[in-house]
Amino acid sequence: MADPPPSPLSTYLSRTIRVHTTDSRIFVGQMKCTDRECNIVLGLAQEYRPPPDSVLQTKAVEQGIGSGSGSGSGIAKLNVQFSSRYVGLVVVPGKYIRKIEVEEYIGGGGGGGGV
Amino acid sequence: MSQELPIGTLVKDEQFTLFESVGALEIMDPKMDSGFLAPGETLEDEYDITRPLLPEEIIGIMDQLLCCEMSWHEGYPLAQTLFTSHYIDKLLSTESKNIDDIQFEQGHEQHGGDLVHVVLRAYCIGLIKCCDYALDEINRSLEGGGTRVNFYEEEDFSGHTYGRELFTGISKDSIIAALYEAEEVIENEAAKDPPPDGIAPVYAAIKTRIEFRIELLLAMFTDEQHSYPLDESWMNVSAYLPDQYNTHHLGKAVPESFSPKIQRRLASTVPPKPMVELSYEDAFKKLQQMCLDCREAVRIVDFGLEHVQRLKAFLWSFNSRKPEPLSYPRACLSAPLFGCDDVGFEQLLRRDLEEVLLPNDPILDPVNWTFEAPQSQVANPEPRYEMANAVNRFTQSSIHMAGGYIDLYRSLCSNRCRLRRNLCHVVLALEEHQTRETEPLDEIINHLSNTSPSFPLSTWTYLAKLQTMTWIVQLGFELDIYLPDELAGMYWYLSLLAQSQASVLKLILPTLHQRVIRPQGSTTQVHTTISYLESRLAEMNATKSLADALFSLYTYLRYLNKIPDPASNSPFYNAQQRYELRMKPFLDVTGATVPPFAEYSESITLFGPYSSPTVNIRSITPEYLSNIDTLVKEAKAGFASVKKMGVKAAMCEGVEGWWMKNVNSVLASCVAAGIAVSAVRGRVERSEEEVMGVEVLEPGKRYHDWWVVPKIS
Repeated sequence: MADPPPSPLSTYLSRTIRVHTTDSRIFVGQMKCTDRECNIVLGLAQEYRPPPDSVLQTKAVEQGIGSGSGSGSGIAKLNVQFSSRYVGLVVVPGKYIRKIEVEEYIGGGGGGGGV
Repeated sequence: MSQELPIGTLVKDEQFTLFESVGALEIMDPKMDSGFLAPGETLEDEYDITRPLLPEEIIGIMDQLLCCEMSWHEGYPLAQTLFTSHYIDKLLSTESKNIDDIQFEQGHEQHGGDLVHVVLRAYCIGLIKCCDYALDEINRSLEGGGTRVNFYEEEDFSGHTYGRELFTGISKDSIIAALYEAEEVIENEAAKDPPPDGIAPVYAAIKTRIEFRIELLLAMFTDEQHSYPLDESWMNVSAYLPDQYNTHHLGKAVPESFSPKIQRRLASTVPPKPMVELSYEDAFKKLQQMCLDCREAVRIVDFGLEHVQRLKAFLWSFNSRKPEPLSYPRACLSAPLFGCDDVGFEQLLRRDLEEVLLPNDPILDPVNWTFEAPQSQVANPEPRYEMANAVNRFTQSSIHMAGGYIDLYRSLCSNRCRLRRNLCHVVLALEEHQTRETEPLDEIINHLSNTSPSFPLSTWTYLAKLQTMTWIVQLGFELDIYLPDELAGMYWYLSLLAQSQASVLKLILPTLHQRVIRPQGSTTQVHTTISYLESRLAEMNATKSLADALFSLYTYLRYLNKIPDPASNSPFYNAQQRYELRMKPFLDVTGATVPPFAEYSESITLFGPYSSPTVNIRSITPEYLSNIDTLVKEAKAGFASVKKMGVKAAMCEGVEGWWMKNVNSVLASCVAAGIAVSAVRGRVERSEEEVMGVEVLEPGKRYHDWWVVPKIS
């Protein structure tokens, strides 16, 4: 069986990526593995969670930013503290993924290599 | 872009294996993702930790916390025990440099009153500090003294703190001051006029719990200086236990102040787990036992390193405690011992040599260690320097090898099941030491000292090896490793080991008697060693007799078809392979070689196959059973003489109670063996073999766990 040509996705392997899930959490970790369904395995992952909606609303009112619904880019504008914790090796199922971002290395040692 | 991938194709990091991926937690799966929230569910509970509490609720929470604390000591992680408390969580969630920063609520305004903010807070801080001390002690016990082996303590204890610091930097004195302040608050409340009905005992109960916590902190305090002996500290802790137990019913539990949700915010690489719920009754029993175990464990300091056999006896006695001590009390035992460095263990080994084999001997004369190394190769080295050098090489190599002398102590400090497995490593190390190191060193020593026993280092090593092998087999009986149909064979092997040990002891004794006849200096130490070796010789002779008796009895019962043998019906059963498995720890041992299977097999089937014996079992019965009787009598006389020689001869001073109980239990086993033999005789004489019942008792139900005497009915 011949090996299939390497997917362009493989350039993201071992890079630190940020996965936003449908419940507004963000997982930051090293991309280890993915498949057709976009299930992603992250190593050494850290979980970030926005404060509950009630807190966000108060903050939004305080800072005068619309009537923040607590979702999407609204959070980014609000100056609130995300709680974070280490969760290690996780797999995020594709169906719960809202957005994926790749963290750029300073000095740009792009892709490959890894540990 | 991922949709372009063909079905079933993975894009993966080369170093990342699918095997590894099995360990990944699946996000959004409620069973695995501890951060998953059901729709409408909030991460935090609605519990208000600043709400005022009734004094009864304070008792309730303190007792619930105690249950959590004991579950943690029992081995459950903090996340499932103490960290489920909202109060504990709050106090630990801020980084605090001093005790004033540790508050339920920041700022001056404090809702909930002094019962919450002074009393409960101080109690919680004290409790967390106790956990900090426990962790510290356990870590010290694992780190110290040339650690070279694997530890399995994590099987018994979970030391994970989820990145939180348990008030390590907060001083004991400030915490105790806070507890005193809490006591004052309670006293003032109780003195209020007029006191509501029935409240006095409630305040008294809170006070007891605070005082208990103060005493516990003092006893668990891990720094070197203690104001008074540690065993007294543990006695003081125990003194507060009955009052606590008797006032438990006054408390009112506040279950909503505990929540499994808190672990969702902890750094955790495991799926969410339920809270551990231990009843107060059980928690209290464990606490009571822990205090007793700690009180015994801290006596290690009194034993010191002067008398090695006594120290070993103490470790054995602690290891034999039932119920098995928890990790913390065991750490109290081993932390001071392994605080000793390599040089300390070398000294210990030299004293061991001295006590067993070389009392007041020129080989171990401290003067030998005062000579400098020769300046050049040519110069004739001082023989005493060379002697010390040979002994040093012996002790150093034994200390530094895996399974070596330090690991003997590690084994004795591990839990009972580990003890046996660790001793198997010790045997192999002794074997390696004997075959590789001791002989050339002995030749140097023999050449230099003609008055000492020849080959002292090899002799000591060989004797230690035989002793360890004997222990391993005996612990096998205790841990119920052998099936009923193996008992005959294992007692046969035990008898061989005891005999080998006895013959070595018989070789050593005459050389020591010579030393008494032609004394060089004081002979007190020589006499002590002679008594010790004689006590051990008597014990080994008696062990051999009793093992022979049980071997014969089980063989006989086997021919009567009274020993269950379920294994032999299995298609996978192979007697030879099973024998090799049992002998596995000893297969590489030279000097006391494992008998070949044929010899073993012949011994346990001396009348031919069990189903068709070559002799009429009935006709040989009277003679055969009276032989067993004789062996049992010999054994009993032997153990009685060990008892008569006393605890001092056995070098077990300091653990008299344990030693006496041990000897008496073995004597009781001899009596039981005698009774079993006559019961069998009675049944056979009356031709009632068919209805004779044979019960192989389980550990704990025997007079002595090392002696499986069948119960005949």
